[in-house]
Amino acid sequence: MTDFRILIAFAALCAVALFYVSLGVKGALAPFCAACTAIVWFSLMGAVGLLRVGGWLFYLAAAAAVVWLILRHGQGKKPLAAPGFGFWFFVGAGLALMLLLYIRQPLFLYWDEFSFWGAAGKLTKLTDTLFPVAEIGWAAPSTQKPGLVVFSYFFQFFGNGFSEWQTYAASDVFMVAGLATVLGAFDKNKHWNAALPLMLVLFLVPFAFRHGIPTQIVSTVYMDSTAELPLGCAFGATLAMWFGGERGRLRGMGPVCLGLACLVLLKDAALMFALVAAVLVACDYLCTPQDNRPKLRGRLGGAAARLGLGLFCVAAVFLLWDAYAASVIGTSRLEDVGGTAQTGMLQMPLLFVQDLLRPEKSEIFTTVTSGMVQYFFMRNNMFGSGFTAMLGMLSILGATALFLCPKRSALRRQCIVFGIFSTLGFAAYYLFLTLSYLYILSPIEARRLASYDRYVYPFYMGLFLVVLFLACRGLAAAKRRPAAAGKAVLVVLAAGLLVRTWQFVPLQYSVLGVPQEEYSERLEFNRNVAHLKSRLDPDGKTFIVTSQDEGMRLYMYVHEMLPLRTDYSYGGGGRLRVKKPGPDGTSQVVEVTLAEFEEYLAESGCTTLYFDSINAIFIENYGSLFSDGLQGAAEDRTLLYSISVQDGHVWMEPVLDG
Amino acid sequence: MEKLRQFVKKRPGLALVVAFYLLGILGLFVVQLGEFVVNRVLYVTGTLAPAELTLEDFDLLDLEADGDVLLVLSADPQMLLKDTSRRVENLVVDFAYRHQPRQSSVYWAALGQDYSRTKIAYSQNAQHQVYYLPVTGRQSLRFDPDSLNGNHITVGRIAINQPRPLWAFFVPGMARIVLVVVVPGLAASALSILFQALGPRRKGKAGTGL
Repeated sequence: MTDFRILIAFAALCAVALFYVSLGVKGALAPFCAACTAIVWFSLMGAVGLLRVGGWLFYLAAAAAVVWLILRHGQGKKPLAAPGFGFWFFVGAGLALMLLLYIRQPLFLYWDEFSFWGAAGKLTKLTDTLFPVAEIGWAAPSTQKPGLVVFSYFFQFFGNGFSEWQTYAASDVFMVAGLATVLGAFDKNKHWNAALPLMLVLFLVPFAFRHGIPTQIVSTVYMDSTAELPLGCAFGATLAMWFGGERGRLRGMGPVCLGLACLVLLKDAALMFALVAAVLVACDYLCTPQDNRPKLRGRLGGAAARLGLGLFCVAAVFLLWDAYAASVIGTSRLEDVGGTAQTGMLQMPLLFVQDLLRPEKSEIFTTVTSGMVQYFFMRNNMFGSGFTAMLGMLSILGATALFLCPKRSALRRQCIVFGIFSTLGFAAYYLFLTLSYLYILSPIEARRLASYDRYVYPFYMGLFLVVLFLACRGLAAAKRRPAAAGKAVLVVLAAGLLVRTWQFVPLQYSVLGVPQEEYSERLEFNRNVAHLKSRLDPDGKTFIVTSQDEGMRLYMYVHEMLPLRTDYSYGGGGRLRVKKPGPDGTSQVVEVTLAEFEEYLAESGCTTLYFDSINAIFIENYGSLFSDGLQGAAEDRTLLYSISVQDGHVWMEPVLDG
Repeated sequence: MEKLRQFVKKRPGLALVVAFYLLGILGLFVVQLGEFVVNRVLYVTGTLAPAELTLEDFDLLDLEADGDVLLVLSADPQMLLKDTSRRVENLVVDFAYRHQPRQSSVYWAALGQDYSRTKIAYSQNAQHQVYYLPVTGRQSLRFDPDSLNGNHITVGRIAINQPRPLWAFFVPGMARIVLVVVVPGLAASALSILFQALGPRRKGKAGTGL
């Protein structure tokens, strides 16, 4: 059951997609519409505390859609139009990836998956409660955007237990749905000789933008619970839904709005993506002639309506989640984006202009801005640097406009308009990124432009998908010889990407061939934690002491111990640090002395304490709280201690194994 | 036959794709058959000879031998085959581990080259370990029995070049599956595009683009 539940979810998604097809949405765009619907719906129901009910309603609605489609078919009404390549690509690639993940059974390996993306999914699944309000035992809950977490919940809705590879499966299906939208550029079942190489290109696009150099560790492409790659896919797909949908009529904005709402829910930084997408949509409508509105002035109102509708969706979803987060932690991100400058979101650009005009620029300002320029020309994807990737995309658009599009066609105009405004949109995003480094991230992170690649490649990836879409539109519209030449280029691109990916990501580091051996350390860790859990009271709370400086190992414990509660704690160099609620609802990590630790433990409600590892300084500093002076732990007889509290005094005794 | 002809006439594109995929599967089968034949020939001519090995046949790195028990001294212990003139097609290992082993693998490399993480074989089973290696020529071979520091390993049988069952030659690896899935489709597209470029003018005019 727990293995098959993802197939049920996939079937439900397909049913909703076919329902959209029957409403007139293109087959290639429908799966992404369905996926966005699921994300928006589950996020909403999660926020109002009805996650379980919402799940049942969604699955019931999907079942109802199947019944309705069958009845409609039986009545001999207009049969459902064949959904086309895009839909079948979604079904085929989705099933293939799910099968691969089932065979490989990959596990979380990286920091972010334990600190939020994976752990929040597990918490949400095991408690049937959205993660910000689910009980984890820590001081402060996380209020990151819930999109992928609830999508993973949707996939693991039935059955008990949480499965890490199924979280990957959910994320992959979402990505494939996004990629499939590009195939909507072709009319139904025409141009198969371009659609086949395009499918290969689409499958490889995440690799192309994720890996700039040959990888030495397991690639996270298609084995990822974080939001970057799905964000890239969704950004491109939202725009593809605009270009491939009914642009002339306002109802064509329906799928686009769904996509925008979903974008906002994927990740905090995705707000910028959604805003850029909304503006690009309006620009496209304004600048390209419509059948019924040939004049620019005639399209002003329509463009404004589309911009307003798009921005309304973005703002509504953003503000709703912000209000929800504020109700949980008591502070709004809008007034305070956190970080070093403690500024509001709207003051940030003003601050930047101030800093820019200042004659004496601060050291960090020059470091960050010069770094941002430098990094733009540094190799970070298979097409080279960000600069070459942008240049390549603009050249494809230019070639499409020049050689493929019929003269004076709206498509030619569209290519040029998109080229100009997407470049401007990129510039805006890049500026936003610079602001984040300057005013939100800590100076240490800002100086080395931490995670730079992760912030930019979703943008390149999304733009590349739209460029592919427009180029394929050009192929479909072109005369015979230019079309054949264009298709040949597409085949070469597919073959080239395949070879490049093969070189950069060896099979045993990719979803296709990663062996279980890569997870042996993790599996051993899991066995140890499973043994520990069997010794613990399920209602208790465990304080975990790790003596490593970074929190990775602690987060691994927190994740693996779920649904058992743990306390956030770690000690580096013999000094314990704990997480306490800060003054503004956030939390901060502070070092504690013996007395403070005793007080903390007494208040925390912890019933047991477990040592991941122990060192002599720790024994010296805190040993007096333990009945055996920590001799049991030092001699490796036991690492588990029970905590009893009397009159504010804490006393810990060793719990011997077996 | 007539039905086939009609199908080709009615859906030439689909027929081309199907034909290429059939060709791809056939090609895979031929390659595998070839490998099987070469393998048998190598055994018959004695190039590949079955043999039982002992610990004496290996240089031990970060491993301490005490009778037939090995103590693992680091996270990366290695057993390097001394005699590099042997050609090894497969390695069969029966070891008993005191603690669950963390990672066992076999590396191969052309003589004089470093071991790389792309030339590595894993076993499907932790107790009865079987590793298949490509036979390319003289090569050095390294067996990493475990990466759990402090583990105790009781050495059982170590054997090379145990004849492989017939079916093992006809189960394609992931690399070949990828090629068979991808290459025929690309080739069919390329050929069809070529036809389109050279063939007669399409009826009707080009689309408007929107």
